[in-house]
Amino acid sequence: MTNTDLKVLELLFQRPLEPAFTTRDNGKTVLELPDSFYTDRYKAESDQVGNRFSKNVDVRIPVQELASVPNLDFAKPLGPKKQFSLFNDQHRNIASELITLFMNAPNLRQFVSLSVFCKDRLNPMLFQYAYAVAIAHRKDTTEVPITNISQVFPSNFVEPSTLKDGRQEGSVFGESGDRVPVAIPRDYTASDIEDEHRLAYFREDIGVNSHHWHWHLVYPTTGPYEVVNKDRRGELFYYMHQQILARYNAERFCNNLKRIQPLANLHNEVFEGYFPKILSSVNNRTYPGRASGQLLKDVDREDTRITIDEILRWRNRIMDVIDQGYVEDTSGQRIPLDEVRGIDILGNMIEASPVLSVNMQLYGNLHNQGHNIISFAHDPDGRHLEEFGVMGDVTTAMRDPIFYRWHGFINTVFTKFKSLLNPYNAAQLGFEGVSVDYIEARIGKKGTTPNVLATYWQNSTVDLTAGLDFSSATNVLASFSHLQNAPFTYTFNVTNNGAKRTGTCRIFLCPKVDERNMALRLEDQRQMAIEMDKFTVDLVPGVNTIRRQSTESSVAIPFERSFRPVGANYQPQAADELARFRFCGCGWPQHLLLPKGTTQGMVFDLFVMISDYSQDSVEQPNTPNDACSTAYSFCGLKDKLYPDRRAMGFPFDRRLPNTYLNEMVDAFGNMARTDLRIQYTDRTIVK
Amino acid sequence: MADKKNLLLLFDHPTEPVFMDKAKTVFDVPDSFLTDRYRPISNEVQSRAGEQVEQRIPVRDISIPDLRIPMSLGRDEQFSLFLPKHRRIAGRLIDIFMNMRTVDDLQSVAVYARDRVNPVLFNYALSVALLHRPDTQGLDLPSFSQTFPDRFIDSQVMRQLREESFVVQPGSRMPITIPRDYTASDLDPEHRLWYFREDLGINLHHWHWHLVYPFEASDRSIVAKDRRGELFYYMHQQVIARYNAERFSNNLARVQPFNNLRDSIAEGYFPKMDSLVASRAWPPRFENTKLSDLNREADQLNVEIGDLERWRDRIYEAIHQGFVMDERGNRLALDEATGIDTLGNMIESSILSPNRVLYGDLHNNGHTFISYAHDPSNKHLESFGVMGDVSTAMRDPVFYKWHSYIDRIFQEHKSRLPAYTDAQLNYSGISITGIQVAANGGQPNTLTTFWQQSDVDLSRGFDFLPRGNVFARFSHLQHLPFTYTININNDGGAQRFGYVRIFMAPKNDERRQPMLLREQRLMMIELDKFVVSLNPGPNTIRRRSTESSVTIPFERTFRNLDANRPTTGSPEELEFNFCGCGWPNHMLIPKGLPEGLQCDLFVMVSNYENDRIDQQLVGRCSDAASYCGVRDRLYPDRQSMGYPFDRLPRTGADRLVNFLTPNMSIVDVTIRHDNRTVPRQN
Repeated sequence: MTNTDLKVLELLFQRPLEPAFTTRDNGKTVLELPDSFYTDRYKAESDQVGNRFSKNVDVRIPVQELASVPNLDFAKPLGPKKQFSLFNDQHRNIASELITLFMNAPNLRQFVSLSVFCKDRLNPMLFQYAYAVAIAHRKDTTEVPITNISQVFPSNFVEPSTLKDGRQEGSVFGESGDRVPVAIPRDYTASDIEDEHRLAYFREDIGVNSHHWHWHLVYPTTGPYEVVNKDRRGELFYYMHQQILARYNAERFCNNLKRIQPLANLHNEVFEGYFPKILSSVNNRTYPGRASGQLLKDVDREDTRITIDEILRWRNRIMDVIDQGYVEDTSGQRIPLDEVRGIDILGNMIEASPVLSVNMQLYGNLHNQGHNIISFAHDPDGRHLEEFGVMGDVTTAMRDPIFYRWHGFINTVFTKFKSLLNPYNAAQLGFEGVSVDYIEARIGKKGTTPNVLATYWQNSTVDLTAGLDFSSATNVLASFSHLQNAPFTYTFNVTNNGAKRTGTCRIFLCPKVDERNMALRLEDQRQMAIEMDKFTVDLVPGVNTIRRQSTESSVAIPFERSFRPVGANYQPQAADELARFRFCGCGWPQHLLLPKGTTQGMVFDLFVMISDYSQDSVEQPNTPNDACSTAYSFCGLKDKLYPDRRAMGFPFDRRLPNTYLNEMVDAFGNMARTDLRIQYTDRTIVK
Repeated sequence: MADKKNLLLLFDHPTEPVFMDKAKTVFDVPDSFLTDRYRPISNEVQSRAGEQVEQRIPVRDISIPDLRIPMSLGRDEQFSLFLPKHRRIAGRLIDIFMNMRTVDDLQSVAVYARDRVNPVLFNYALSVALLHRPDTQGLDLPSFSQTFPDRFIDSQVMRQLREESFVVQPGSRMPITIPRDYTASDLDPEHRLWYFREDLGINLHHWHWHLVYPFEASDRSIVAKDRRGELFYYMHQQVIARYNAERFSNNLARVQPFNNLRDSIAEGYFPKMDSLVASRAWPPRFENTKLSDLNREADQLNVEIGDLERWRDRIYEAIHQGFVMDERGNRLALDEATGIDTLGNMIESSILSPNRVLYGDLHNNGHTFISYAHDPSNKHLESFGVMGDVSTAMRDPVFYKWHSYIDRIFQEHKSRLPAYTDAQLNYSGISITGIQVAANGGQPNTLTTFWQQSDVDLSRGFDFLPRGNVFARFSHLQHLPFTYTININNDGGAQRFGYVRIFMAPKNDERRQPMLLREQRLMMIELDKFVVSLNPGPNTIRRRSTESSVTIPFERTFRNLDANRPTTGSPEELEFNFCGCGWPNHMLIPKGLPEGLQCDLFVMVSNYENDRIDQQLVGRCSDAASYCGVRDRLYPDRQSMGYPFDRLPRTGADRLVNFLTPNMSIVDVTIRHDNRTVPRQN
């Protein structure tokens, strides 16, 4: 029974705009719908259209009639051609209700029917979001791989002529073997006179943007309480975005640009213009651009009202509670912002999650409304009937330079809180009897120099067939280039002067100098530290040699893998392979694990620390097999607690006792640092 | 010998490879013509379409002229007539098409070029060539809106149409309705004019006008048409007059000329259309945008606002001195007869300009500056906005501000000419004794407008999809057809000929005060102009609104030719022959107001002996001559365009009623708008 059900669930990620009765799986499979499933448009011709698509298929899967037809009126305000935004209150409420509906489907088969029924009646982006959240959270669908969002809605990720060319390839060449992958152009959003364009390879990376979507899929702000309320989700909101900024700033240094300026003054002109050029397939409109020098204005639209004043009020109240050290919940109770829970409370409050914020009335909706006010700057009162810009959509927000300025501002609020906590002391930082004697990172080839790593461009291929709606094209491939780093291996020599014990190995990469070429003090440097990996090590007495591959990073996922063609035929069969294949999709793309570096080679501090596992370990309440391997540093573990008791970002999340990094490393035997050079070569490797 | 009609198939499905089937026909493309990409598979593709193909067209393998210049514009770039670089490229391709010796050779080179040059450039150059080659006369070019529907309709509708043709069999497809209010909401007062600015027919007219009157070509005869400079002035002056009447019909003041290039443009405009060729949206203009100096390497553009201001000042100086200076330093007088024509070519400018170095390229550059205001340095790799393209420019409110300004310069010249004297106006012995206008069975002197929904087939513009018609249903203004009844007395003893000239203008200004004629004359809309023979004694002339010399009928605008074209070879077919240029008849009169817009309807009979141009006019699509002239002929009226309102009124004639000589008359007309939507009866 379950096999076909799971297959249907997978197929629903394909052709998000086409009616459910068209073919899927490269034209091989068709769903046989009960008559009641046809929408009014196709009801009269259900035989005709049904036959039209079931002619040359291999597999026909009947879909069961629904036990009770759901009332979908709640979703009416979000029409099928509107843009769906997770930052919009109304949209989130609708999504929340839909997630609840999906979660409550009594069994797998009814969930299948419900999904098929809803698909043709709801906004396609809303459906795909709520549907993916349900697949990720239902107990009976853990085996269904969630198709990467960039394959479901490729138009949100790639230059629009790619899709036209893909349709053309499919239509002209048919099944004949002469087809070549369509090339996705680079450097199409701006030219080199725009300084910010130097970061386009980062901001417009398919992996970066699908990671962002996926993170928000795993950590929705609304929905059933048990779906929203995950362990330390508020803290993770802070940390994941803080790390994105650290990475972005390091990339800026690699491109001779200074750190981003936080968007602290909402009354100033936004000098970065951005013209996304990508086209939403849902409404067939191009995401609106923002001209250079745009002023933000109060938004007064049918479904969104925001004033700059209220955003500033929320910011001030949040700053107040940080200085006071406690927040007030809706019943007036004071909740302290302490070392353990404070950052988590703030994260949920600032993001803000209506389910988890301690007091939304008082502390508002700072982060989301910032996205909204920026995304509507071009048409604040809706007179031009324009939808939001890329900042209004989690699949696209990271393309815009302003994303990093807005999150830079959000991060200054968190940083303010962290800076008021006591500096870490020796007991917290040290690991008595453990010393890290030698560290290196080296490319895994013969004859390589230690601590010199390499970046370059790579051409990869992605299958766009699933998202190519209203086209009979099959197996449409597109190639794109992205930054890549040569895989490397860490080798650490660690002496354990005590009994056998366990430690947590924490690896960070930090820029050494600032934009003035002055050495960074630890207080600045710690805020730019990039987490590279984190893993548990067993230390036997005496000398231990630890080796770790860069591809094992707890931060990243092997992103290329998600570009495989969609469908059961392409999945590996062996159980362990399968588990690895089903990484949850959330995670920093492996190909951006390292900053780009420079052609001359840019020198970083590689920092390694082994902390005392007895202070790190977490008692997991239930330990089923991992449903999927994941980048837990950024994404947590599915159905489990966050697997590190320390504050996220430890030890760099708070002030530290020393002025410079090498002073700290000298003071603590369980830490080590070395210079690491990242050498960038401007050539493209075809995979 | 190739059938010239087959050339028209090359317009269909503009981005598909040329060997794919078109209307059950395929071109047998020589292997050497195929692009490298498609050479291996063209046979297979054609055989796939095999069952439906009813006709195969042989294409001769000839040696192909050098296409490097036309191919230097990328296939996915936006093509604009306002960019000098693009004009040179287009000029080269037009030359190539014009110079092919036979229709056969033209077909070969066009087939070869189609998969290699930019699709819009191809359409433009081939259209110009077919219009101007002697051996391709009498072809019905498909409507530009059907080949490139993406330039005329909401991008969302494009998606729905794609869905419809993919999912539903041709017979069961339903028309997709283009929403009425998709570019803005009522919060934007300018949006009240959407039905005018975004009308398919008006934008098609504008595209077509520029096809017929290109301003550059290496074959000078293509440009040097009779009074083309004057027609440039007059056609656009009439557009502004009409636009202002529409504004009064929507409780808006007349459009403010864009007379300070350093001011910000308050009006924003978001076109919400995508260019299929470029895979880009037409960029919007945000509110309060300012113009900036242009420095766009890719377009070979490096122009300052200061350049525009200098050209403008020199043009004003020429007007005030009464002469222009040509390239050799000779003075050319700006006189009553040819002054306006010289100015028109100079301001637009065309290659007929007496001195393009001195007087520059004001009007074209204004379009370019405005269309690039969002990305003047090409920093963001953005293409031009709708103002940069003749098929889309009239959608934008700023088009009318810019052309009001251009018109102001022309009026500066016109206001310096001596007023028409009584003798120049009167037609002695002829008097109008009465005029009336009424819809069939309607109240006299009341005209009625309403909304109509019509369908247009866009399937030619849908590439890489199953074939078959796909219809879009759009709303447009319409009026009840009406008839003028004019009573004219001929006091003489012999039959005489008169030129009847009908104009209309609102009576009151935006403050609801009666207008002085010096103001009102600028708002006079030409409705019709025709020759009558007058017998001695009283004559009653009846003329239908559908016969207007300004407009072309709906069917001609959209050319759903397959449905109801006349039989081949009949005189009607000659009449039906494509011209395309012409104001759409459904926009003949302004919308009016629900409570009625008060207008003066003016009728004059002038002495045809003074006006006539002796030439043969049969079958030359002469029926929209007022704005478009007549193909290959002189402009069929010796008077200045806009006569008698093109100059300031004579002393004493400060109001329209004082202006009248016995051969003129006026009547009060009310235009009432009935806010209901009626489907078109086919």
